[in-house]
Amino acid sequence: MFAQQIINAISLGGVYALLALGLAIVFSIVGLINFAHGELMTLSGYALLAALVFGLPFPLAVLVAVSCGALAAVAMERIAFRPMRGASVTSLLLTSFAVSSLLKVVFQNGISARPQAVAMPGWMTGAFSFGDFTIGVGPSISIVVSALALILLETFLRRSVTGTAMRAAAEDFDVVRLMGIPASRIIATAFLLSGLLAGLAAMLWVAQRASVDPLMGFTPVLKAFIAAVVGGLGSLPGAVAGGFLLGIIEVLLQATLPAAIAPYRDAIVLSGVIAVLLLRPQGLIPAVRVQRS
Amino acid sequence: MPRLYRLQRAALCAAVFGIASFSTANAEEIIIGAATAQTGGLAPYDQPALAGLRMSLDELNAKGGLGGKYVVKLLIKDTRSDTAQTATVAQELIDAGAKIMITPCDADASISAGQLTQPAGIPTLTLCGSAPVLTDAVGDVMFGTYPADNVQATAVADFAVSEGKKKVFLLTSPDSTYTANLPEYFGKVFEKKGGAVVGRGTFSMGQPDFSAEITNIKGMADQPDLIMTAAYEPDFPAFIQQLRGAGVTVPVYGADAIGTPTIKALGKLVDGVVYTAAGYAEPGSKLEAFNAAFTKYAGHAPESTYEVNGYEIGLILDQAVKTAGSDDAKAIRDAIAGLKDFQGVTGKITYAGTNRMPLRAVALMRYEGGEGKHVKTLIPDAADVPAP
Amino acid sequence: MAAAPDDSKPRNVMPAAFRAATVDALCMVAVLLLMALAAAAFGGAAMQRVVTYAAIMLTAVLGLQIFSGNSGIVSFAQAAFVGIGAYATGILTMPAALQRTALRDLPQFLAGHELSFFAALAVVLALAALVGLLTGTPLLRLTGSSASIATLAMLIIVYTLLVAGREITRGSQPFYGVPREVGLWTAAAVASVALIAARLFRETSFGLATRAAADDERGAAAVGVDQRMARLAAWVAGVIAAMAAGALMAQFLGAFSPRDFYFDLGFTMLAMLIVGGMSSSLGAFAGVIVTIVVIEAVRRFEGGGEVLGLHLPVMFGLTQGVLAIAMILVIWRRPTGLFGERELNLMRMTGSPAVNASTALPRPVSADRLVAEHLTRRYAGVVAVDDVSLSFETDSITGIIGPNGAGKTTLLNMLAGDVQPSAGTVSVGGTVRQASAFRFARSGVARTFQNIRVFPHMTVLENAVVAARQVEPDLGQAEAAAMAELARMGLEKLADQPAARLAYGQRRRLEVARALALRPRFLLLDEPAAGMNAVETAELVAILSAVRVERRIGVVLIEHDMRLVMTLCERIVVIDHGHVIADGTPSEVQNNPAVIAAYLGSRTARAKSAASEEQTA
Repeated sequence: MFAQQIINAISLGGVYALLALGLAIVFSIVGLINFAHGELMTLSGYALLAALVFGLPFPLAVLVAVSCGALAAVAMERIAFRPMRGASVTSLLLTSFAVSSLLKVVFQNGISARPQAVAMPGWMTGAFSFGDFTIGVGPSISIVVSALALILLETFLRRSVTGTAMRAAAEDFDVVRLMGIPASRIIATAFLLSGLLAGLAAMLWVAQRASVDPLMGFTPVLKAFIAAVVGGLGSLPGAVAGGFLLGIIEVLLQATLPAAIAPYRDAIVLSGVIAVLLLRPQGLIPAVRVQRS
Repeated sequence: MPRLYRLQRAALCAAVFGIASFSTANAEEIIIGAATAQTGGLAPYDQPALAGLRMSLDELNAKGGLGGKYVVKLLIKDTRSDTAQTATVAQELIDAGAKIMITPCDADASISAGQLTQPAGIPTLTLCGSAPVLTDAVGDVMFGTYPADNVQATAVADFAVSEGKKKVFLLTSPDSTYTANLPEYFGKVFEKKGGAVVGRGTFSMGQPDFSAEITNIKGMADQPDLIMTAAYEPDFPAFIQQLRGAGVTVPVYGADAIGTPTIKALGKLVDGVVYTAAGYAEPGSKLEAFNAAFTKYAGHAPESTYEVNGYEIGLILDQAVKTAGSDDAKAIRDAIAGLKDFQGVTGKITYAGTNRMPLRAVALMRYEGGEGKHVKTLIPDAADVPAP
Repeated sequence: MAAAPDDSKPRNVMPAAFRAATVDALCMVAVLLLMALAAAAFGGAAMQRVVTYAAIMLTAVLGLQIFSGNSGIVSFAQAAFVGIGAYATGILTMPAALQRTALRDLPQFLAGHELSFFAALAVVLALAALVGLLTGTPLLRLTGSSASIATLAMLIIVYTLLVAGREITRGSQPFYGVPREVGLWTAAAVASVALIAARLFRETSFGLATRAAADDERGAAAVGVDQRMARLAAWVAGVIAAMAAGALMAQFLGAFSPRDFYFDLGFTMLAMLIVGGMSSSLGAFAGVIVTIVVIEAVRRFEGGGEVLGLHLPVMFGLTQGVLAIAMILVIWRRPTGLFGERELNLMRMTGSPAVNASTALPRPVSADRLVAEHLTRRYAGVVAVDDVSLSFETDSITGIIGPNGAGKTTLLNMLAGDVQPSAGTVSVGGTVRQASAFRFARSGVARTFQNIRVFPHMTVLENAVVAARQVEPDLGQAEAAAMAELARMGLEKLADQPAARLAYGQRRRLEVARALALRPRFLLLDEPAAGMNAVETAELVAILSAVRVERRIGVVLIEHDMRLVMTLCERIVVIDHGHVIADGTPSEVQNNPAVIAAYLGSRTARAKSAASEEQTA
């Protein structure tokens, strides 16, 4: 049973890692903690629903939904965040709050305030069994997709020119100009990647929840935010580590806390977060930044 | 997808329609204030109930108004699912001359509005609030309309016992009165009738991941033959999806909040899930007639029994005004409190002798093949209902 | 009030900053009370409720402003403290009979108090101070986004505790039965007190210190600001205001549950503060009013209905939408909020006399020594300063010179307590001190920075007052002393300007004035003449010589301008590769072959020195 809980933890941690990574990529390049990241997820969820209602086959619908997330992220940058380029972290953060709450109103009015069921294909609710050990298809897909996404992203950042430029930009944005790459391209790519990650995470999230609603993005972005800060804001490996750590702690506490203490679970997790920050204010794996005097 | 938009359009139609009917201001007028959530997290519960209420008031107005005499002017204000805002708009409605107040399904907000109407002696009815503590928290002007949580839980427990269930696992969430208490009411009745609570689990509302809790259920030495929860959207779909995904086939029972199109749309996933409703539209029943009329009125079929519950509020008010013979607030209040075996759409409704949470029938429903099938309707024995 | 300064022996009852703040605060209070009066006279019960609600929110938002506005750290936790205040008040004021049924398992010590509102408020305020200290202490170690995330965590923790602590809070169920004694006037009174507190807080030494640290953390430490204490004070004040608002809210609502004090409330308060302008109490005040007026106006159109015979469509959610758009527009167009960084500053507008410079000459300091022993500092394998022992006396001017990267600034940083030596010690007045920039500053070692670190968002006078307050507890006298230092540097005319508006050379002079306001025994200057033209440099030399003569302080300066060093300094220390290679009078140093070699680094010089070494050998 313990092994099973570990699988649960990795599966949840993987989703958190994807989301935290999406936040971290954008933060590392433009210094924005994007609270509207959750609404990108919601949008992808609705896109999936629409595609399915439209009669698209499931894999195609997922593709459409994920691309919707990515495109929406780029559009969001263009419309909302580009005019703010260079503003303080606080201003950017608050702008994203406002964007987030505006999108929620749009979803509530334009679609419906009530959750919409998304019928996932039957095979996704199945489970494999090895002796008395059962693994659900859902968690397995979660783990595989998160792992693949992380590997692909790493490859992109290491091998491609744009990826290399992005890593350089994270440490010192001026380097990008020296490399002769337009800043807008780097920023757009950062948002595109974060949108892709949000879209993917949304698919995994919706697969677990079987419904989409206007407020769906709130909890995950909150967790991702916490994971990203614990890991070290703006540090990509940190975001992944933070995501997995948060997922593992949440699942293990949920599994082991006695009923009398169970309601205090979130308080315990977040006290842990504060403790980590007290010991390592820059997070577990701090981001590298060039200090200019 | 089109159905997503329909509700909006219906609300719009209703608004225009409602306004049209107000303009026949010839007879005596009675103002009903409705402080309801049109936006925010509680809007999905208030909106259908309000649509039902509007329909009945429109019909009554066409027949001359409440008690055939008082044309209703319905003033609606949005509480934004917020307690402070509810109090503010309730005060505005009182200032606008509301003689009767309709409050949201949410208990906090209803109590907050009730504290304003109580000193003014204005009869106040919650749209679909089912927290048993609601009426006592305010005082003698506050009325529930929907079967209370403990009444529903008793009905479900009676049913579970009759199905031969012996061991229940209770899944609660401390995040709301409903999700925290309803399963516990169930547990009390179930134990009293010979069942056993073999385990308890909790979740946070909005939590995506139930895997840890489900793994715990799977690992229990003493396997339950029933899981009782009051989780609703979006938690219920997530829970059942992951529960079935993990290969657990134990039946799951819930209450009225999962009687929604969203849950129904989950299809095979929710096969066998038992829930409650305020009534069931048997062929030839009054409820079936109502559903047809409502579909005509709103352009879509009722989503749940909240619509009919809202409709019945209109009928209750009509009856009360008739009994009172005037639009005097005190007289109307007394008349509501004295209602006994009043024949609504769904069945008999009784306030007399209760703490103003009505004693009324609970329909037990079960999802089968993507449809809610009626199992039985019962009125729980008042003696079995656990104290709030 | 243009009286001649000569005959003004009678001191003002209050320092100028407090006088100005009080006038501003009273003006805002008057506006608030007028609005309340208008609501009471002309508005119905509903309008009065709106104004009451506005006053309660104002109290909470002002609390947020005291912390976030002064420290620059966005706090999400404010809503949680409003919640704690509300629950505490609810429990304390609830009728005992009702309490027995509603809260059956309430612990004995909490049960049956049935206090009046104001008695409960007093208890809640005391509790708030405790809660503030408890929650603020861990925050001290964190900065920037880490601190913000910690406040976010606090919000969730408090919410979870309120939900989980069923015996006391009824969990997620509505907490009801709170008497509703709070009306328009109670709320307005409490909000007025909060307004005055928030406006005055800016000017207290805590307020000045938090603002300085928010502007420039190292710069603040260099003038002796212990930003942790100041930030804690701001935090506690903010928590107290929040819990007072909570007490009002409890009695205003009568029934509530934990989710009333969660993200929604938190975001609303932040939106109000952002719209108005985070860094001033005027911003908070205006933000709350503007936001509530907008909400009230917009929500009337939300339900559709008829306006002048026209049917409006039903547009629910319009309010949140409009608020969000308002917030985005404000952040885009006026990132500092509608009212920016300004307070009302009525006194300044009416041209009332600002601060009079103190005429008393600063007394010469007593003799002292600043001693470095075996100072070493390594950075990732590179030795920046290697075993340097030096001693500096008061009443002297020493120049430290050396090629770029020789370790001069690192040495200066260690002398100022700003950098922890890898080995060796620094002692001031015979006592060895642990590295701590603000403690060094307070013990008489002041400094300036190579890249100027003034506080751009504070006025020129405030820049100097921050420093003066570290050695002069009386604000009035600190102001006068600070003004005197500004006058010394020729900046007195600019006293009311934000430092950000100063020209480069003026900022350099301000930094020196600020350092002098600390009444130091040692003044460490890192390239004070960098970027100055010849005239400005000459002025600076004159001022430094004069200051040294007046006060007999020890001046240590790093400078590349050889002419300045040679004319001003009586002792010169030459550093290369982290070592002292020469130490003596200007003429001694000028003729030292090692210095020439290191400094010029040219082949000829090296050849020369090699030759001279051969000769001596």
